[in-house]
Amino acid sequence: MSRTQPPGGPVSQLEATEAALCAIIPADQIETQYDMEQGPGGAWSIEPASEIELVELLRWANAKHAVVYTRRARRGDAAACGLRPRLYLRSRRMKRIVDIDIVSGTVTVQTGISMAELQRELEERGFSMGFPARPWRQEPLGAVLSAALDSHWGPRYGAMEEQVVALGVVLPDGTVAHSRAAPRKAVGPDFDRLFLGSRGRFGIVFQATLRLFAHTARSASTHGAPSLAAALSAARRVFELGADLRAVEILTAAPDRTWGRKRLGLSETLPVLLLVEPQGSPAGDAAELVEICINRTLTPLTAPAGWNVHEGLLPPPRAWTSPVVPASWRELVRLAEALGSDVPAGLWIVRMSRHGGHLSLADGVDGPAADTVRAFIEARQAELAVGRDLSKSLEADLKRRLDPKGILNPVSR
Amino acid sequence: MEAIVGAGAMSTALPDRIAYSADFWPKTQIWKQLGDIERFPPDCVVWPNSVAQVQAIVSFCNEAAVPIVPYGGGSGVCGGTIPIHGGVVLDMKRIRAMRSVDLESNTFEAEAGINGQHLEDHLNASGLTLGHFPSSIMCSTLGGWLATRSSGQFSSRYGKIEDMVQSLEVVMPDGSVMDTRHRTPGAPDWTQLFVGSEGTLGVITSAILKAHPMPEERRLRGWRFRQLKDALRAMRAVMQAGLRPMVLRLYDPFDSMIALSGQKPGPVSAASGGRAPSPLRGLWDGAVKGSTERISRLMAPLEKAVKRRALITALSAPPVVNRMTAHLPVSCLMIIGFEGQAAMTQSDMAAAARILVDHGGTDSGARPGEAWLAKRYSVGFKQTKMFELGAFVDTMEVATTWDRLNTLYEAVRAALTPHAFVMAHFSHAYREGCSIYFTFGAYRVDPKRAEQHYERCWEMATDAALSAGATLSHHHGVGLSKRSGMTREHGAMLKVGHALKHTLDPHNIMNPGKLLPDEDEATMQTLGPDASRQRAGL
Repeated sequence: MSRTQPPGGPVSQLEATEAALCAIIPADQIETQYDMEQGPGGAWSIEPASEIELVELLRWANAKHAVVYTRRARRGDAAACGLRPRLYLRSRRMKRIVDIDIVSGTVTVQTGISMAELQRELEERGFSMGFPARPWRQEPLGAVLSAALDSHWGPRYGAMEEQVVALGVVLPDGTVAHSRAAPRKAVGPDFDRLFLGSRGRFGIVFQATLRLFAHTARSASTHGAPSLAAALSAARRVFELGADLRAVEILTAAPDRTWGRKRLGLSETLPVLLLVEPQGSPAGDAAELVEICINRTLTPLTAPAGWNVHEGLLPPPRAWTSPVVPASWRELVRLAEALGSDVPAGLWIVRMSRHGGHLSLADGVDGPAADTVRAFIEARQAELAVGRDLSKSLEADLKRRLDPKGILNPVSR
Repeated sequence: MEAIVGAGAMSTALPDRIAYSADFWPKTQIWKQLGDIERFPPDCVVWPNSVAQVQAIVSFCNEAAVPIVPYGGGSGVCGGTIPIHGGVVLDMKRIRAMRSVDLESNTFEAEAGINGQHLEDHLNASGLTLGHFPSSIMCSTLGGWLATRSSGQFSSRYGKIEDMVQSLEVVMPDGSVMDTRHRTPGAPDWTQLFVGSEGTLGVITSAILKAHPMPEERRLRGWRFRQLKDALRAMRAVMQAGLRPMVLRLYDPFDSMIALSGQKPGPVSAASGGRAPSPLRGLWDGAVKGSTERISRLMAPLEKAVKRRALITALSAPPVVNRMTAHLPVSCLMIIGFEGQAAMTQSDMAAAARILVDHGGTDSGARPGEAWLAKRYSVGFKQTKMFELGAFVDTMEVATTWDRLNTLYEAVRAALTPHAFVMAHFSHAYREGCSIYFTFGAYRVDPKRAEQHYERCWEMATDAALSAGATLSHHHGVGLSKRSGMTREHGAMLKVGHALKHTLDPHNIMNPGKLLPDEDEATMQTLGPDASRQRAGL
């Protein structure tokens, strides 16, 4: 590691910090952070290569009131942290597959592995994850687990939490905590849920045990519907079959060219697409029954070349930043009634179950149908905002309790 | 308290306090056999009838630093509702409304005190089912299920209660109400942090849960396997093929014998008082074939005495009996069942049959499954008879992943063999693993040593299960019985538990002494039965 005098802090203090870091982590795993303003406390990007290095680093940060981020540097970090040193953790050296348990169907892996790499490793052994790897191709698993996956790119096979069997976590004080891998437990609250989706504020997830699915047992079918109501009605019948479904999604063509009508096989008369992925053979004859059930009212589509249905998700439309809201089936039916035969482009209902789904609309879509959907989303957001203050206050108290010095991702929200 | 709930909805009478001083934890049965019936009575019992009353009670207790123990049906088997620090028992059974049923979304909102069977009846009337059928369904409540992470017998298809719940309404220790349906992006999942908290973080007052359409058809069959290992492999193959049977149970050889003993040909006659024929009764019936009914009646006490003696002898020599039962020439019984739409049920059962045949199973027809279904709620009530004999019996439901399951079974059996008679069945199967339900019992001539012996059994079984990598509880919860085991199972993760407790309940009024180690535990043990009386203030 080489460094020049950064603007801001006294060199001797920064050198002392660097020397302390080098005592914990090999110098070639430490890099001075110059891409943003460095601030008086200094900023380093650090790549721990083992659990021990990670633990030592957090202990040091705790002792020195340093700030540890598990994300990239942002403008404004220096001002927020003042004299405190900032450490930006990179997890890519911690990417070992610890164990693939083919008997139980689980994989235990360090969370620095990228989603694409993990998917490749598993595919070579005939398995796949419950997560679609494509949208997060370059992201490490830890980032995916720690992020709030309330977006389009949430897992298709149930909630993200359902894919996780156990976690290994380093708490802000450097304590290593592991949860026990078991199919279900009744030994108090599920403490893993504190770390999943909470953006690394309560601990760093460095290892996870995930559920595996047989890679060969996947098949999806697509169907064209004349309206949202018709698509919902067909999806409803599929759920009533009681088949074990991995994914049911409803979408319309995107407003940009990422997936146009032709690419999806849709038309003026069939503007809504219903995608169903049943658990594959030999789970009864689910796939066949699903096909029969849907084809009574909808038109089967042939997935066009280039669209990898098995991978699951389409490339994201440009600038899709709209919120995703959960909606019950009743609310979806009301929306479908309000829309009638008109549907907006860029509508997507994902993670559907017999109880409802998650809905969003792409940016830049105009027209009365889009306005109806947008009003629906806003109403749902307003409903969900009720009572958030208590939750936030408790969350802040809990953060203070587990991380009294506020070293871990303090301003990440 | 009277000002909050009215004079008729609270009691400080000794009979009420004694009634609420214990649940179905077998250790309390041992206490009762020794004549100790009021070890931990609460100072008072209240029966609120609204969330507002719960808020007022909790606020009052928070200010006065009085412990509160939320109480549902009292059917727990781990001592979770025993008021070891005295204080107020908050019986939730009057807060039992079905607030709403959303038929389109297949969800409903119900209050925590609703009885399990009543809840299911409500849903059935709307064409829905929760799919949650614990053996305690008739004497447990929704709130109790949520507080302990309960499981029903159909969990392989419908999941456990934590899989069914969407959100909770919780009265917090300061009296405020939290609705967990509003999860902010980046916030913890409060629903899953309250589920399983056993009343230590707040009082669950209502919940929104998922329901399912009533099944069109239900099919059950029994299968026999020569080897337990083959049967376990078959179970795993069924679950990992993506099939979702409503029930998939496998009995070890002795448990198979017990299970099959209730399925002898011929229906249970009304004249037998609805009792199923036991093996002993079968032998006896054969010996006195042709005798008059009068002789049978005369011989009944003798039969009872023989049974009693045989049971006591067996329980007094567990190593011998366990070795004998381990070599019984009995095949293992598996019960498998599917429900749902007729076409899917038929197709799934056929797919399962192919897998089971491939693994060496032999189809035993529908009768074993139907017999199990008919008697599935009656098991627990037989335990009282064992305690009346001066013996004890308990159950331990551990769970682990498939790769460790056989090791876990052998380890716990080996640990208990010198101390208690033990049998087991495997149930609650999932894609990644399964639960093992051990039943163990023993007899001590000196009743005063029974409690010590009981604790020894638990200690050995807990050690074995934890060493084999299992979780100590699949669905009974922690309460008092597994508190030290929970500490060992979670290890450093328990820091999160402590942080939650201190954040949400800084005055430690919510069911103190449960889940987490008690700070003044030593004091409590010294005080023993007088602990609650020494806590003045009500």
